[in-house]
Amino acid sequence: MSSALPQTGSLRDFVFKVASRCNLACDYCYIYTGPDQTWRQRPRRMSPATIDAAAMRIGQHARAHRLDSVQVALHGGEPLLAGPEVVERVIVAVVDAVPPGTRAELILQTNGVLLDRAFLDLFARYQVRIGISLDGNRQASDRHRSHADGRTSYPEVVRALHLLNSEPYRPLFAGVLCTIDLENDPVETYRALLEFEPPTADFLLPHANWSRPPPRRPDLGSTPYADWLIRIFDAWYDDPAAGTSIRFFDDMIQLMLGGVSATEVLGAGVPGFAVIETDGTIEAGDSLKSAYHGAAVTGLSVQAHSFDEALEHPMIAGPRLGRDALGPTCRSCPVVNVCGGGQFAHRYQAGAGFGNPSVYCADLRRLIEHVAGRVHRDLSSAVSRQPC
Amino acid sequence: MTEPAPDEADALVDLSGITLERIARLCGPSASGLDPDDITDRPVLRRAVRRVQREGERGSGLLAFFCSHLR
Repeated sequence: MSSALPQTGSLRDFVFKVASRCNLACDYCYIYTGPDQTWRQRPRRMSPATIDAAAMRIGQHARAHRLDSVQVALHGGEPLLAGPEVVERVIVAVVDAVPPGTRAELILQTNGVLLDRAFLDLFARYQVRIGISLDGNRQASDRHRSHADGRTSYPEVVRALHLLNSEPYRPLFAGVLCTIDLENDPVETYRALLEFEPPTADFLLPHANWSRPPPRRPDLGSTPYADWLIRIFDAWYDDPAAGTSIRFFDDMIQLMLGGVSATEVLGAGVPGFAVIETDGTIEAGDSLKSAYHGAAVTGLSVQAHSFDEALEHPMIAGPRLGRDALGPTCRSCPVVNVCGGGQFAHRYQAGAGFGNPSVYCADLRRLIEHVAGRVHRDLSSAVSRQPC
Repeated sequence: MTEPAPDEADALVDLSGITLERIARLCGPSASGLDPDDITDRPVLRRAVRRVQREGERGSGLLAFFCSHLR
């Protein structure tokens, strides 16, 4: 059986902060409305010299570790604000920097507002796949995802999705990212996403921690996020034609079956990644910015440091340690193989650090129990038919 | 914390310590020999089994548990 387990001692995923500002003013944004305000000191976009230095470091790392692939995500802020010249420079620099034998997989995460044919033609030339943030229908989108003057962004995002879904661009469509809001009906939200036939849909728990707890509603019980997601899971799992992958659920089932998670959200021993800010500083995972000001700062930069040096930084190494990074409560939990303690940023508590269970612990356990129960029942009947 | 229902609690027990390597030993020459289409009609579960077979596995495995259990 072939193995695609992460190569130890290396990073495979790199997030390029192509632009450090955004053209939307989403009220839940962990970058601009959270405790970390380091973005204020960053250049608005990456300079050519920074782009070249970052690409060189990625190539150096891929060569040193003989990586068969690297994934580079163009991110922001809103990356399209950097303009087509800067975006193309990043793409070309990365493609040129990786050694023969290393595949550069490029993806861009955008709010869609600026996505047009000129950008899509550029992405088609280099096979850059596109993810778009979408929280559901117009009502769901308008709760949070507005322009600074309060105007809705929904029609612009829908236009971008229709364009991306048209030929010849459809193969570039990677999927949609949806941040959970308990005010939205889960199944309506799921159906709203499916209208655009995304290859992948992902549901994100709002970034929160023990010192900044997630939004709750007293009328929704003690595990509202699990209950919300379970309604979507059942609709998805029971769909005989489910063509859309839901990464959160796929990874959960994958881990139950004995596989590995592809993301930082689930599973102990997550794939490693580093963030490169517009000024070339190397940071740990973006979600850490929801913990406290400077939480993702490493003091390193692509101008002066290699990614091997970044790997030694505790905030980049910590999430990769798997069970060793977990507290005793998590280590003794029967579902730790699946939740992995939850996302690293969600374990934070001021004064206590990251050694706690996730602030979503009860929700994760309830959801895992539900998914495990359903998979259990299916395999139970299936295996009874197998000639073991 | 909510206590799991009995069938869900059983499923939790199954999440420990049994791997697809073991299913290979129990069920045939290779875990990759399992046909997901024989296991389930559910597209999402078929995809998951194929991904484990393609990408390799580590840790626990419900599939393996059931084969070993039936042995």
